[in-house]
This record gives sequence, structure tokens and C-alpha cells, in this order.
Amino acid sequence: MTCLRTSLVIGASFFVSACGGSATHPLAVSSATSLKVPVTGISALYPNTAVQLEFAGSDALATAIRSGRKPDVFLSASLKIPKQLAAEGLVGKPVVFARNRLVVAVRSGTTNIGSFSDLTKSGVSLAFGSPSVPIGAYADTILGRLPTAEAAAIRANVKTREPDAVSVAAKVTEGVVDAAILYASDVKASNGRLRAITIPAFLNPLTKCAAVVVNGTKYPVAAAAFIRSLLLPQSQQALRAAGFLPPSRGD
Amino acid sequence: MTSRRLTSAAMWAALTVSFAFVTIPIVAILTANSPAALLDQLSDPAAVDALLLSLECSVIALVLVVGFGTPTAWLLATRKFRGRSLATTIIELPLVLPPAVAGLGLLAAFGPLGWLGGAEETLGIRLALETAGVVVALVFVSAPFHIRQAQAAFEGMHPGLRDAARTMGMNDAAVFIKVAVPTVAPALAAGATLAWARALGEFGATLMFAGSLRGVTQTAPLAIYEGFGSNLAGAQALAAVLVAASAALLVTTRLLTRRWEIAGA
Repeated sequence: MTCLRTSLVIGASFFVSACGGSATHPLAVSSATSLKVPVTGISALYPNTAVQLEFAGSDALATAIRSGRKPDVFLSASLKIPKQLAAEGLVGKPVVFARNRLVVAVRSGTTNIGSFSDLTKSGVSLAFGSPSVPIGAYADTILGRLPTAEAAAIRANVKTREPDAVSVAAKVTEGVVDAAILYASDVKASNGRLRAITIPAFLNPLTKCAAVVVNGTKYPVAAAAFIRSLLLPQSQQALRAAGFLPPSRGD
Repeated sequence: MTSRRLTSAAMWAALTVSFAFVTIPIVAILTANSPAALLDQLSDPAAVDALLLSLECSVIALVLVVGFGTPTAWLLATRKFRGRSLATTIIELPLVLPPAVAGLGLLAAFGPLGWLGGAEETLGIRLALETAGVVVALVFVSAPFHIRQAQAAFEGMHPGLRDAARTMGMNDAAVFIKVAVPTVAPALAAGATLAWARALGEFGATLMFAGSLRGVTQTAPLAIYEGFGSNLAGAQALAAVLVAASAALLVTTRLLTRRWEIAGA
């Protein structure tokens, strides 16, 4: 009993000292799974506060915010989703902190797919993200830019639509499908298990990763500071090392 | 006296909390949309496809589970052999395995790069990305619900029944088919119903092993998860159907179990 009481007192004093500092509460950051590698690295080194990370598809995280399960910061793999949330008054102004390229990802050591046009071959199996998650929506954008017959041929080869980029990548590394449309950063994150095949530039949509402060957060200042830190050289370097591109001047 | 009354009040309070804890989310799902909106969402062809696929896959899985699981349970219940208890534990393991572990296991075993992947390719069998793969995932996670119940029922049978059948010259297979199965039929049906309910709800192993494609591998739980990102009302409508189906199966299980208990007594 005494022991329990002592530990309670120690716990309480920790609690008091933790609350005494200005910003020692952890910041809740919900992030697209495609950003997992750089965001984990950046958060681990973030000096101001501890960062609690949650990863899921950007669309599922947006639904969570709409349902009232709100983090302090939301990092999306597309600009479209946070723009919609901002229009609904749920988040602040989106800040683009990185861009990404799309590629065809195949398992290293396989040779049956050598170029983007091979995706139209019959018998090829493909994994896409589900239409509502950015990686799936971007894949649909690419098909929309193709002649109808080619788009239909590729669509017929799509054998699964996965909830986020990590699940899409797993279907390729496990050999379940021959190829997938993924971010260049996903291939980098696979540590050599995946190989990237270029998608022609005229088909390749410009993908932007955007950060927003979620309205109603108790820590708007800390949340905004975290988002600003994503643009600092060391964060940008971590993003570049993970295969992302810096935001362009107009962003 | 007061303390006894206090204890009793505390127990009733615990019951109220337990009841409310489960009831509130279920009522919230059922009332998330007006009945008209619910029907409207369910008339969406994608929702219909998901429900039909769930029905198809879970019924096929149920047939396999009952067909293979019942004789398995009979042998586990009536034969003494080395490793019987180990076999029982392993067969029951999917009851407590996380579905993600089941998904990884199925991929490692039956995936294109798994142990049997080469053999499957030679034989022209494809499981991953196919409806057959969904059935495999459902069988894996739901079989122990039936086997466990069937084994308990067979073990609970009066030993005299078996002996009497033997003295009438029946061999073990005949005892199983003509005496044991009819005797414990309500218990077997209860176990099968529970397995069916589990199969209807399967999510993680299906997604990891079979994938998610409308009309091919996207069962109702997978459609609910996809809807969570894009069409919340549609997801809630499908969820309401699963709540109703699961409730019906659970009530059936209870009624069958009661019949079995009355018959057994």
C-alpha cells in the first residue's frame, strides 16, 4: 500500500513538472502512410515537443477528422483532401512541404514489365490504391490521360484496390501482383525490394504533400511551429533522402 | 444488510454499464442514417456486390468448415492418440490469432512466393486476388468456432450411446454418421452458425491475402473500410446490415444451444 502510494506521489510530481513546461505535451500528428519514413525521422529529431504519430490513408484520416477524432496536425499525400477540409472549416490553410513523383513499381529481379506501356499487356496483374486514397486517385488520373483503349486495358489488369500506399507496396513485394502505381518514395522505402519504372512526364500528375493545423486543437502555436519545421533544411533533407522532391516556388 | 444491498446495487450498475457500452455504438450505427437514406445507400450496386460476395464466400466457407471440421472434431473427441492435445490447440489457434497474422501466414503458405506458390502455379490454381482466396481466409479464421463446439458436443455425448451402437455391430464411421451427428445436431448447428458469423465479419486476413476488388474479393467488411475514406453513409448502411445479420446468427446460436441443452438434459 505504502509502495503504491509512493509511486502515485512520484507519478503525480512527474505530471506536475510535465505540465510546468511551456510545450511538453505531445503533439498528435496524423500522417499519410506514404510519408511514414521521413515523418518518423523528422519527428524523432523534433526538438520542441514529443510527437505522437498515427499513419493511415489520407482519406481515412480525413474521415476521422470529419467525425471529430482530431489530431493537432494532419499531413496529407495530396493537396486536394486538406483543401476540401479547409473549405469545410475543419483545418487551417494547407502548407505544401514536399512533392512526389509517381512510378510503376515492380519487384526487384522480375523482368516481365520493362516499361509503362507493358501495363496494358493481358495477363499482367496490378495493384492500385482505392479510388478515394491519394495514391489510387493519382493512378486514376494517369488512366484518364491515356487513350480510352489503353486505359481500359490497364483497368482490366487491376486486381486489387488497397486502402493505402503501404498496402499497395506489400502486394508487389509479396509477389501477389506484377506491378503497382506507387510513389517514387515508396520504392525508395522498400530498401531495394522494389524497382521503379518511369511513368512518362506528360501522364505523371504533380503530387503535393500538404500539412494543416486541425481547427480546434489545444496547441495551435505548437502545431503551426511543427508545420513550419517541415520546411527547414534538415527536414527537407530527410524528405529528399526518402525520395520526395522539395515544394516548388509557386506552392 | 446495507453492505449486501450496496454490493447488489454495484452489480446492477456494472450490468447497466456493460449493456450501455455495447448498445450505444450499435444503436448509433443503426440510427446514423434515416431508413430512406439507408435503403438508398444499399441500392448502390457496389454495396449490393459486396453483400452478395460476402454471402457467397461465407456460405462456401461454411460448407467446407462443416464438411472437414465435423469429422475432425469427432476424431479429436473420441480417439486417444499421441499429440491429440497439441493438434487441438493448433486447430483452435486462429481463434486468438490477430487477423493480420493470419493474413501473413496465408501469404507465406499459399501466396505466389509462399511455400505452395510454385505448386499452385504448376496446377494452375490462383488464390491471392481471387474469390477462392477470400474463401480460404474465411475458412482459416472461422473453422475453429465450429470445431471447438462440435468437439465439446461429441465429448459430452453419453458414452453408453457409442457402446450400444458398437454392440449393434456399427463401425466407427457408422456410429459417427448415424448416431453421433444426429444426437448432437443442434450443437453442431450452433457451432456452424457461430463460424458463419465470424466468416461474415472477416476483414484483415482477407485484405492481406486476397486483396480488395469490387465483385471479386471486396466483401462487405472491406467495402465498409473503403467507404470509411470516401462514403461514410454507405459504410454505415453496410454496417447496419452486418449488425442485423450478426444479431440474427447469434440469436440462432442461442436458440440452438438451448435446444441442445434441453435435449441433453
